[in-house]
Order: sequence, then structure tokens, then C-alpha cells
Amino acid sequence: MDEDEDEDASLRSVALQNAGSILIARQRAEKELLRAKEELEHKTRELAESVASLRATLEATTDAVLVLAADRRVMHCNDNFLRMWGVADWQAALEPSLIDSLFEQALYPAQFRLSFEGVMRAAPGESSDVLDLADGRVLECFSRPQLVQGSSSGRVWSFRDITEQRRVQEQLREEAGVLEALNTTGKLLASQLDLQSLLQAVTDAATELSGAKFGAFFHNHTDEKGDSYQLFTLSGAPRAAFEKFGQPRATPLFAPTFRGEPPVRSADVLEDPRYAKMGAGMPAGHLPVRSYLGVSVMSRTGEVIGGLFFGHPEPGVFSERTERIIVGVAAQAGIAVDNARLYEASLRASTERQMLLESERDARAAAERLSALKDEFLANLSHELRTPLNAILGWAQMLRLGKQSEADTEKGLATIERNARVQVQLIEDLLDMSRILSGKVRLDVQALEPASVIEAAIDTVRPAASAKGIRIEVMLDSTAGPVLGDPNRLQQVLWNLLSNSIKFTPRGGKVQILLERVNSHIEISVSDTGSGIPFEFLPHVFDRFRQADGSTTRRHGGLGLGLSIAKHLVELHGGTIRAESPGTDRGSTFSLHLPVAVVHRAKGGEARQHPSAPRSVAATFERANLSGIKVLVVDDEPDARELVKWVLSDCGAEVWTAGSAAEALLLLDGELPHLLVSDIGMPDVDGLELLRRVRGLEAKRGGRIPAIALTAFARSEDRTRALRAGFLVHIAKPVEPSELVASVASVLGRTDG
Amino acid sequence: MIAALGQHDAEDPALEGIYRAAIADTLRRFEATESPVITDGEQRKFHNFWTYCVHGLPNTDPDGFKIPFAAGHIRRMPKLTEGPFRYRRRAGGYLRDARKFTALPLKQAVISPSALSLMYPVTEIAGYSRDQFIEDLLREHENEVRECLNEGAHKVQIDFTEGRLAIKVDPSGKLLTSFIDLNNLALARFSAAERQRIGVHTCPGGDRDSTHSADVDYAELLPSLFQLQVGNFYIALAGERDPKRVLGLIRDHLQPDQRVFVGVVAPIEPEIETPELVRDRVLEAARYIPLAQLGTTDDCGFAPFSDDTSTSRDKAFEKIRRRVFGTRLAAEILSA
Repeated sequence: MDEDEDEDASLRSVALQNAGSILIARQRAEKELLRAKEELEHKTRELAESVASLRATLEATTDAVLVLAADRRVMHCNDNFLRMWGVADWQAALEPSLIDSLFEQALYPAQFRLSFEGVMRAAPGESSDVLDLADGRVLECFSRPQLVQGSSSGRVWSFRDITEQRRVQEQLREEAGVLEALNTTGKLLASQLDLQSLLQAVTDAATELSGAKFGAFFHNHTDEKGDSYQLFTLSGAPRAAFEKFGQPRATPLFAPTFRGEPPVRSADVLEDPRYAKMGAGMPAGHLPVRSYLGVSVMSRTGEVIGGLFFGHPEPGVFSERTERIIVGVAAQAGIAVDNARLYEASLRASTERQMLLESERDARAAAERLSALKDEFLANLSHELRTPLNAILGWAQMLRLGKQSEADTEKGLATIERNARVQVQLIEDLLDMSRILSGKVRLDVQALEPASVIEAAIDTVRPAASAKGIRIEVMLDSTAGPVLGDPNRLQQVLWNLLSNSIKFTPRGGKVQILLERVNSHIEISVSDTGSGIPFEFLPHVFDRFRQADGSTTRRHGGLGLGLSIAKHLVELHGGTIRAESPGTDRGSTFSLHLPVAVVHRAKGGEARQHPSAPRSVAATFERANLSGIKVLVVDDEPDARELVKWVLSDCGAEVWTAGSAAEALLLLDGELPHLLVSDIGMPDVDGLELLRRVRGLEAKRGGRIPAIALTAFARSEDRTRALRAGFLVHIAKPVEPSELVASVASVLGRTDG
Repeated sequence: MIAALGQHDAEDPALEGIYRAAIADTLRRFEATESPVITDGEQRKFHNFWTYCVHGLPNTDPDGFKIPFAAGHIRRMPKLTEGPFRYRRRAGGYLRDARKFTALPLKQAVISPSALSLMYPVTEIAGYSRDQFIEDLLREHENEVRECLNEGAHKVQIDFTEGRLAIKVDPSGKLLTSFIDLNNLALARFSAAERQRIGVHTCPGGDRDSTHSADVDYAELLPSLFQLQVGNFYIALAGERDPKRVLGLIRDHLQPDQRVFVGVVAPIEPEIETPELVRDRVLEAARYIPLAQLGTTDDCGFAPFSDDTSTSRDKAFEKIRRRVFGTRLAAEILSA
């Protein structure tokens, strides 16, 4: 029992001691509690402040905020929410019917309910939607879970009134659309440089943008009757609908636009007090117009180009915005029209400049070509002149040696003569060309039978044709009729055509000559089976200095003047000449047309021989008797001097020679010749000056002696100058001995006749 | 199981399978009673309800205070020999084990800090003051309860069987007051909501069909008992001689936020209560206690010590089954 009592005593002791410790622990706990309480109070104050701040923030936000528990109890909402949804107060917000009242305010309540329920059920991390209310407001709805210490305690819904924002967005979108349309129109106009197309594009675009039923651009211009408004382009209506009314009158409705005044816009022209009393200026039968808009189109310089006019049968179609758009289009159109005009002007200037450039280029090319041709011609000329000289000089040197047989001597002399004649022909051609160019060709026109001329020409070329084995076919209509012409010149033409044919026809070929009458013309054609004429050369075949093969290695000689001379001569006869050829190596045909003469041929006309016709010196050199005649021959060229001396001496004359004017004058001091034969072109003192000085001498000293000019200056003006200087006769070098002798005899009155 | 414990140390791993089988059987049988909550809560408890958490601590001696029972046997508490004081095992582990075998809500029992406070000897332990001990005790108890709450216990029941004993040992009431203070200090560490999941059990003891303080009048205990800051009270009543008087005391001291579960079957009574008896006891209690604050329970655990074989498993579960059934009968009457 004692043990139990001790046990209990110990237990009590322990308990009591523990009570002391418990008390201490309790005090500690109470202190801790106090501290915790103070801390809690502090935190509570902080929390209260934080909550107040949060509340203030919540109230400060422009959004309406509603916090719902998962069971849809309203946990919180701000004043904005109450105002936005027309909830009387906080207590009313706590009513279970709140959510239903929200649904009822939506434009589509069932849809809103479905969406809301879906979000509350699925509890997504975030939801957003746009809600249209029945009263026209538009709300943006966001929701997110309300997370408290990481776990969801409900859902926060925020509503933002975006009605104004939506309106502005719509407006901006609309404006952006207009800007885009203007931009598109601007690009379209900027890319269009044709004025008609441009204005059509302007009218089409503006009509579409304005919503008009029809639109038109009237061009504003001033003519002799004053201002005139011309319908230029039309959109949305047939042209006939307007054209029947003629040009619009300057009514109060239209005139301001043509004068460049601010736009005229009327919601209803029939009711508009400004225009209605005048019947709005619309003639009977005009398309019905209630809504009206007129906008000036002006250039950069302020010129009123015209006006854009729009109409619609319904009233109130054109708003202020429409007007702004059309004013924009009109401004773009004004610039575009300016640009189109500038473009047209620049295009014209460019075309003119291009034409000038091409003209200048053609001229330069022609000059260059001519220059090249002349170079080529000079080269050919040099060649053609040197070729016979070669034979002449060669044979001359051989003959001087005097070792040849008589036959060789004869051959040499014939060669020299022939080559000299070739040179003469060359020079004749040149002079002919010169005469032709200077218009100084004189035709000895007479009625003649072309057949005779042709035959004469054939005769001159027949030896050459025979030499090449070329057959000449002649078909002459003897009744072809006479022509008026210079027989020598026509023969020259035909000779030229025939010699060309023979020259360009290979051995064994054929040349055909045809004479026939064609209506009022005779046609003479010379055809051959020769090398033909390249197609590209055909247009140039009658050009001066032009040869199909102008190279230094060409196969055929000549200066390229013959056909040109022939063409000119034919044309001087009132005829034409043309060349045809199927192509290279396919022959060619030259045809000349001459008008048939209406006069009868005069008697006595004797055909003259072509200068190129081979003539024998012996046959033509008729020796006159010049015995007793004293002749002073002056020439700085010894050969020429000696030739003249030989010819005249051969006729019995006594010939003194002088190599210069000075030498001649010196001779005249001691001798008195009957005749002076002088070269013109000499060094120091020329022939003209010599004669002047001679004429300055007394008669007894030869001051009156007759004079003959023997010169290479063979042009017409050279001849004139010589005669004016006092020479009685002008003889061109090279001189035919017979002509020289005849001239001397003539001057001295020693002619046989 | 009891035989195996006699042959092996209680912590011998060899017993694990037997433990598991015993737990599974207990829970299966408990579920069979149709009790909505597994109310016993000591399926895996080590050795006994009182010292399970400190049993085997190296800094204890087995010669602590004796608790004499009316039947003549004594249970002895361990005595702390040096600091610091720590739990060796926790009831949260038992709860985890039990939850593997049932989906029903589980009430988990833990020992009160006041009971364990008696482990500190009369003489101060050198280097480890009583104050320090009390502080450690409070922290360990808090951890014990909080772990159970965190493990999902439907309720955590603090066994305060020494309350009535305290009156017996110290009729002045100082010991009881210090126990109440200590327990309230511990409970103050929990929130009000947590305390609504915490309850206190009191009984006169029930070991080997015997009590240690049945002779102490509830009137000495209950006014102080209801000062404990918990939401639930599990009060042995079936074994009381004058239950009406006790119910009157309960009614007088029960606070509005407190719920009381009155014992309607007595484990130490050899007779198995009929459902009708249980029903009548409930109906009786309902006359004193608002229905919203009234629940039923067993007076005490059927085997608070592991070597207690006074009540067979079959009897225990039959008593529970009838308690459930009788309570349901009463509920039908009361709801009608």
C-alpha cells in the first residue's frame, strides 16, 4: 500500500513539476501567440490595405469584373460590372438569378448561355469571346481561373465595352478600304498614259467607288464659241443617253464644277432649294437623277481640265465620305492627265528627234557611202588610167629602140593608139558625167529611126563579141516608129548597154537586142546570159561610181559611170531605163523606153560615130597643106610639144616649140609666127596669161597672131575661159591629129573647102 | 498473431507477414459490419495504445509509473533516462498500412501528450530539462497528429484515458488541469478546421475486461474535458452505471462546435449488446444531445494492449456490427 502511495506521490510530483513546465510552455506559447497575433494583426492590416488597394485597382480598371465560384456563386464584382450590366447593387449581384439576367441582355441569349456554360464546365486556362448585346453594345469577355495558392477557387470574368473601339475599327477598316481603292486607282491611273484610256479608267473607278448609277467625265475646253463642255468618257450608261442632249449648259448645277469651284453634292437635286426651282438643270428624258455629285478635275497648274459627274436615281446616295473619295480620285486624275499630256508631248518630241536623227544618220551614211564610192572610184580611175598607159609606155619604149620588124612596129603603134583611145573614152565618160551633173549636156535632137542607131551600136561592139564567141541576136521592128533624139547620145547609150552585156557575158554566151513598139513608146531591151545582177545591187545599178564588184580584185574594169550616164541621157530624151535580173549568173535585161516622135524625120541627119568606135588614125588623119605656115607651139610637156610639132610639121608647117611662156615670149622677140598653139596649164605663167602678154605686144611683134588653146582643161567652163582670153579655138587633149590640123587650117584659112 | 508475438520481438521482420494478414482480416471484418467508418484505428499499432510510439527507445527504462487496473494487473510506463525525447514510431505509418486494404474512411488513434508527459522522472534529467522535454513532447505530438491528417485520416482520435485516472491520482484536480493545459497547448498548434478533424477519447480504461478509473465520477472530468479544443469527443458510456447522469453532464458542457460520440457497446462486457439495446441507448442519448452533434462509438478499444485476449475477434466484430445496426435502427426512428 505504501508503495502505491509512493507511486501516486511520485506521479503527483511529476505531474506538478510538469505543470510548472507546462505553465512555462503555455506562457511561451502565449507569448508566441501574442507575437503571432501581433504579426497577424500586422498582416491583417497589410492584407486589409492590400485588399483595399486591390479593390481600388479593381474599381479603377475600366473593365467590369465578376468573380464566380465553381458553383457559380458570385464571389465578387466591381462597380463597373454593376453599371455595365445594370445591376442595382452588390446585394442584387448576389442573387442567384444574376447570371440568367446577363444571358437575357445578350443579342443571342442562348448562344451566350451555351458559351458561358461551356467555359464554366471545361474551366480552360483562358477564354475570350466577343459578345453583342441586344442594346447594340459590344463587349469583349475574358475569363481565367482564380488561383489561390496554386489551386482554383473560381473564375474571374472581365467584360470590356469595345463598342466605340469596334466602331472606330469599322471606320478605320472602311477608310483603309477607301485608301486601298484610291491607291489601286492611283496605280491604275499612273500606269495609263493614253489620255482616252486614262479618262475612261478614271470614270469607271470613280463611278464604282462612289456607288453612283452612272458617271461621266466632261472635258472642259475653249473654242471659238467660248467655253465648251464635251462628253469624253462615260460609265454605267450608254453614250446615247447623254449625246442626244448635246453639250451641258452652264446651269447652277454644272457650271461651278467646270469653273473649278468646290464639289457640288446634293442628296436630292429635285428637292434641293439651290437647284430644284430650275428643274435641277436636267433636260426632259435625262436619266433619272436624285443624288448628284460634281467634282472638278484640275491640272497641277490649276487649269480646269474638266469635271467628273455622278448621278443616282435614289436620293441620299452620296455622303461626305463619297465626296472626299471622289475628290481624291479627281486629284489623282488631274495629275495623271498632266502626266499623259506630258507623255504625249515627249512622245512627239521624241519621234521628231528620232526622225531628225534618222535623217541625219541617213545623210551621213549617204555622204560616207558617197565618199567611199568616190575613193573607190578614184582608185578605179587611177587603175583604169594606168592600165592603158602601161601598154602605151611599154610599146613606146620598144619602138624607140627601133629594132622591131615593121609588123611589130605596126602592132606596137596600134596598141598604143588603142590604149590611148581607151583613156580618151575614160576621160569622155568623166566629162559626160560632169556635163550631166552640171546640166550642160546639149543634145543634137533630130528625128531618127532607133533601128539604125541600134545597128550602128551593134557594129561597134560586134568585134568584141566575136572575139569572146558571144552570139548577138537582133530583133528589130523597123516600124517601131521614129523617136526624137541625139543619135550620137542614143548610140552611146546602146553601145554602153551592149558593151556591158558582152563584158559580163562569158564566152559562148548570148546577147539579145529587141526593138518593139509599146503603145506610144518604143522599147529597146538588151538581154544577156551573163553574170546577172545580185538582187540587192539592182536598186543601185544606175548609181554613179557603183559597181557590183568594187573590189581591187574585180574581174571587170571600168569606172562605173557608163550606166549612170546612160540613165541620164535616156532621161534627157524623156525616156526611162530599167534593169532586171533573176539573180547572179542568171543574166540581165536592160530596157529603155523612149517616146515615139510625132514629127517626121528630117533629111540629111547622118549618124555620128561613137567616140569609142575604133577608128584608124590613117583613115581619119587628113593631112592639110600647111606649108609656109609658121607655128609657135608652147607646152610644158615635151611629149605633147613634140606630138604637135610632128603632126603640123607633117603637114608642111614650120614649127617652133617653147617649153614655157617665158620661152615663147623670148622666141617672139626674134620670130613672128602665123599661129600660136598653147597649152593652158603650165607652171609659172599659164596659157591664158601668155596670150594676155602676147596681146600686149605690138602687132609687128606678134601681138595680133591668132591663137589656139590645146589643153587638158576640157570642161565647158575651161573652154569658155579660153575663148574669152582670146584663143580662137579650144581643143581638148588628147587631140586627134586631124582635128588639130583642121583647126589650124581653119584658123589660118587654109581649109580645103 | 498473439502467439507469434510471444515468441518474437515485436519488431522482428519475420512478423511482417502475420501483421499484414491480421490487418487485412481486421479490415475485411470491419467492412463487413457495414460501419461507414473504420473506427478502431489500431490495426497495426505496436504493442499498445499508450506507449506504442516510445516502446523500445534506448533512452528509456521500463520501470516508469505503474497503472493499476481493477482486475489486479498493472501496466507500467517506460521512464525517460536522458534527452532528447523523440517518438520511435508514428501512427501515420499504421494508417498507410491500413489504407492498403480498405477504401473506407479511417479514424486513427494516437496517444495524448499528457499520457506521455508522465515519462519524465521525478528527478530532473541532467542536461535535459523538464521544460525542454515538454517542448519536445508537444512538437512530437503535433507531428504525430499532423502526419495522420496529411495521410487522409477521417478523424484523428487522441486517447485521453488518463484524464479520469488523473482525478483518481490527484483528486485536487491539478493533475487533470495540467493534462488539459498540456493537451490544449498541443491542440493550439492546429487550425480550427484541423481541430474539427481531431477528437479526444476518454474512458476508465479497458484492459483485460478491467478498468483503471471507473470509480471516478465523470462529473469530475467532463467539465474540464470539454475545455479541450477539439471538435469531437469519444466518451465511454455503455459501461457507466448511470448513463443518464453522464448524458446530462455532457449536455451541460458540450459546446456548439463540438460533436460527441457516445459509447453504446462496452468491450469489457462479456455480453454482446443487442441492436435493440444499442438503439435504445442512442435514443436515450438523443434526448440529451442534439442529433447534429450526436454519434455513436464503442466505449473503448477491444484490445488496447496486444497481449489482451479477453475479447475474441468474433465477439468484438459482432459487437461492432450490432452497434452499427442498432445505431441505424435508432437513426430510422429519429429521422422519422
